[in-house]
Amino acid sequence: METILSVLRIEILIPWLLSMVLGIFVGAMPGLTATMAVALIVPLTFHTPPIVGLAMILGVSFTSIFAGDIPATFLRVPGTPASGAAVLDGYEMNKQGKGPLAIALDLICSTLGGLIGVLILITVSPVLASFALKFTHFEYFWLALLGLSMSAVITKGSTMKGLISMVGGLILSTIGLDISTGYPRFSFGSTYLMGGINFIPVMIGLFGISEVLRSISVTSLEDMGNAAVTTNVKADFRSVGTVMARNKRLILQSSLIGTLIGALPGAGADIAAWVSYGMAKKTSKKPETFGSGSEEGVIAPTTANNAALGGTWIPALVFGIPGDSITAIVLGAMMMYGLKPGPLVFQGDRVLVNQIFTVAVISQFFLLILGYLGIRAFTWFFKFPRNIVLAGITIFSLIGAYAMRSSVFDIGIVLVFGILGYLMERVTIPLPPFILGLILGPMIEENLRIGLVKTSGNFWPFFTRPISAFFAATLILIFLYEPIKLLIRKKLARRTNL
Amino acid sequence: MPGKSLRLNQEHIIGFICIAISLVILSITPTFPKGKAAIGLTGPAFFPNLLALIYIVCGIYQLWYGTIKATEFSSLTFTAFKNLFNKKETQTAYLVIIMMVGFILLFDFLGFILTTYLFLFLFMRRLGVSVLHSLFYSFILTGTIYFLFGWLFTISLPSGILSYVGL
Repeated sequence: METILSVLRIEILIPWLLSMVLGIFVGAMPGLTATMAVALIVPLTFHTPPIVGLAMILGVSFTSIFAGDIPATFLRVPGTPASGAAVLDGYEMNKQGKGPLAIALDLICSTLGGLIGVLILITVSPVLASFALKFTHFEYFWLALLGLSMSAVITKGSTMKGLISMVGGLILSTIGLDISTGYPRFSFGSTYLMGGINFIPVMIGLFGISEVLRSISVTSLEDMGNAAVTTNVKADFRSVGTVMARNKRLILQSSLIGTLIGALPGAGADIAAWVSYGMAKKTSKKPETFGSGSEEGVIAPTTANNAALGGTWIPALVFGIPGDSITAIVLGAMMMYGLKPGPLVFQGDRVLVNQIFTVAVISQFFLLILGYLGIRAFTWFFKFPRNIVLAGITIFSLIGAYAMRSSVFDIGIVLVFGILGYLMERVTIPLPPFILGLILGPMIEENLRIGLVKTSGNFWPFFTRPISAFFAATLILIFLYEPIKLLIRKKLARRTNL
Repeated sequence: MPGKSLRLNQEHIIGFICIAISLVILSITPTFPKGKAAIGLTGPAFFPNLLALIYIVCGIYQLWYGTIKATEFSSLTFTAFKNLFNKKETQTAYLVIIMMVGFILLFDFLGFILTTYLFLFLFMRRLGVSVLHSLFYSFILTGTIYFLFGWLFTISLPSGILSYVGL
């Protein structure tokens, strides 16, 4: 109780809440990521006491990850990379007039996922962090492949087209300086290409600009003057309870997956959302509804990405290893405050650690209120005619991409991938596997090649280390799950007929 | 064979593109430095080559699939190609792409304010917004973005030719 009261002081509360409002704004804006929101807030925290700064950082990260789901649901433009998976079913639900339910599910499940993630952070953080520390390149290679295998699961229609899209993303990830030798690959002398292709402008192009082009090419000029979103743009909490009661196992599963993946250094909220989505589809009784407006398809990624935030703090706090880019900034900020993240923090700064945990829990309740107000604010925006909204989305996408590195080249990337995404959709090549390939490509290549150096070119250790073997077996099981399920069903049907 | 057409369809095109990309990769990677196989050090070409080989397999599959399932896909005839450019809505989409190219080319020269305002005005006009509304909403959107990115997030936006008049 003393700790709770110590963080609910006005000098902490005001900057904390203001940061959370900023998080909603930044998160809902395509091109501006949760990492960017945290990076923007950190300079403001240098002159504040550590707990004020950490409350601001925690608050802004939780709201920005949730807010990314708002444009993902209503406009098919993910506000942050972590909302990439939320586009698939959230937008489909919106097209069916169930957008208010989808966004209400997003808000409640984000809160629940965040809460479970934080509770796990508080209770089992030392155990999970020590488990993640045992990982070497061999395990990370399998982990990345496991993430990539989800693209096969999430692909609708032709699996081959899903594979083509995924390999396309992997190929794109090879552009730039080689990780081992520093040799510039496929850069053709361009300094921009030497730095590699950033996945944020690619994602804005594939999902944002391609949707603008598609929308323009299928809407007549007469219809352009109508409201951008004809469905009811508000949160509908009436049937949320029933839907959540139906999916309580999924919420728990996604929270656990999210926290676990968040705790693995390098794998953040975006990977957590995709893996959770894939697992939800695998374990669902109605996997065929995924991608067509499935409630489970909304619940799984949105729960996991907020749960992952709690997970990312586990290695950061306990061992001083960042779980993702956000906690990397946090670690830098903590050092600026004169704190040394690691096991000693739990002894020397026990009061501060308890305050951090308390702030993380209370932030979830603030998220409920501020998230609801955020949705209301965006309701007003969506009442504009489609042609004006399309103009707004286009310019925000273009400037959002520019804002990342103040580079016109990134605007070009948005345009190129906007056109590519438009063409890919016309020939029914799915877009999400492309993004997944681009994100996970460097992780796969780096760990595969470094692993091979460690073993002098021998592939065998990739299969013989206990955790590697477990991941490899899981991967094989994922691919064999469907055929085995079919086989068992056939056998059961045959027995019943007998 | 009655009912079957061996004419080019979209699956064939996808297959050809996959193979073409693979060939481009395989023609560039021999110029990359070699690895040291004895110590397991793979060169920069290792991963792209692996992906190119997978893409060739994908491409061949698409060519085969496009041929055996030819009746399920419409052939790419000249009329179908011409129709892609004839529809008014599609023409608008192409025009928007050209506007975006113009935006990129003029962004540094004209600066953020002028380029954004001009782009938004032309974009809205093309999508059927009245002149007055286009002028008004372009102003509001440009101002909002300038406030958020330039002022609140202190992101440096190019001033372009306006820098000569002190803006």
